[in-house]
Amino acid sequence: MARKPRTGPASDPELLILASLASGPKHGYAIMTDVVTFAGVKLGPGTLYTAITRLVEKELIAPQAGVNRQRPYRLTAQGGEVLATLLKDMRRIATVGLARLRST
Amino acid sequence: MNARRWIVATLMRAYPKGWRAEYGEELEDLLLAQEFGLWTVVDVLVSGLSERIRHPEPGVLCGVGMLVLVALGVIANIAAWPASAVAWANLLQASGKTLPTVVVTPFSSELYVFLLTGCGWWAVARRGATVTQAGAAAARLTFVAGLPVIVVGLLLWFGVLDLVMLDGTPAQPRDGLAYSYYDTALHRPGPFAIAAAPLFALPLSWLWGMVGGHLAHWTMRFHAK
Repeated sequence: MARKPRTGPASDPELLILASLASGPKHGYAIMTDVVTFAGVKLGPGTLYTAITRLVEKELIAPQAGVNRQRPYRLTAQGGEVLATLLKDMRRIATVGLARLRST
Repeated sequence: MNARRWIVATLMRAYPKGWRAEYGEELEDLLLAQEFGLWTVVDVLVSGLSERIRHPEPGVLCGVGMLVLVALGVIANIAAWPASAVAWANLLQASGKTLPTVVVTPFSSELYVFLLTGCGWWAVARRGATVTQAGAAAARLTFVAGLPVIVVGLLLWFGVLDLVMLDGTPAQPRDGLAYSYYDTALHRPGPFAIAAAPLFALPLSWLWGMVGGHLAHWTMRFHAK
């Protein structure tokens, strides 16, 4: 059964999908299982496809021709750039936050 | 079709048709491939609703706009009692016919015909609907817009509202909620006659929507030449 995703920037469905597709094209089910594996977040099917729809509209991901009813999605060049920027921002904030926690 | 397939097919109806054409098969397969419970159902319904809000159908969008106006008319009618009851009693009028007994005044205006035709035109020209679907969109508009009137009929039936006939004499203060209805012949309509009033406008709405759809086809052909 799907669970409500954890809140916070690291559980944003769009970011998780982009991160999942960074390792290569995947279809919906593969993205879901991959996200559970690397982030511990189970996206509901509706949440997953709402996020996929938004990402396709923003041209950050693109569907590929599928062999059956399941189409794989791939990260576009623009999607790769957006993901890199987001992750760098998150790393910078995490580094500062952790350093400040250690100093207190 | 087994029960699981039926549930999934029903859930898919939460999404707009255009979205289903693009992603429907994938989501359907995903739902069939995994165990799902109440949270998944809620998740899919919320997602479908959000897609419907992002890409509203012309009939629903125009219908919601009209619904607000009709609802304001109903609220004003109830709130205006007794001082300005006559001024706000025009939303529903006696038709003078056997069926329908009551008509929703805005639905019989010329301006509303333009709205229905425009809705049909929009459905075909912008959403690629067929002429029949344009008619359905216009009928949906009328149904959505008429919901406050249907609610009034039901509230009258359950006794929450009291129908007060206005005959030109000053309205008297009274307890409870009153819906004022003006008819010189003093024919008191039943709750079901009021609830059914918007439904009688559906066939004509359908026709005007189809007219709008045909106009869109002609316009598109003219531009294509």
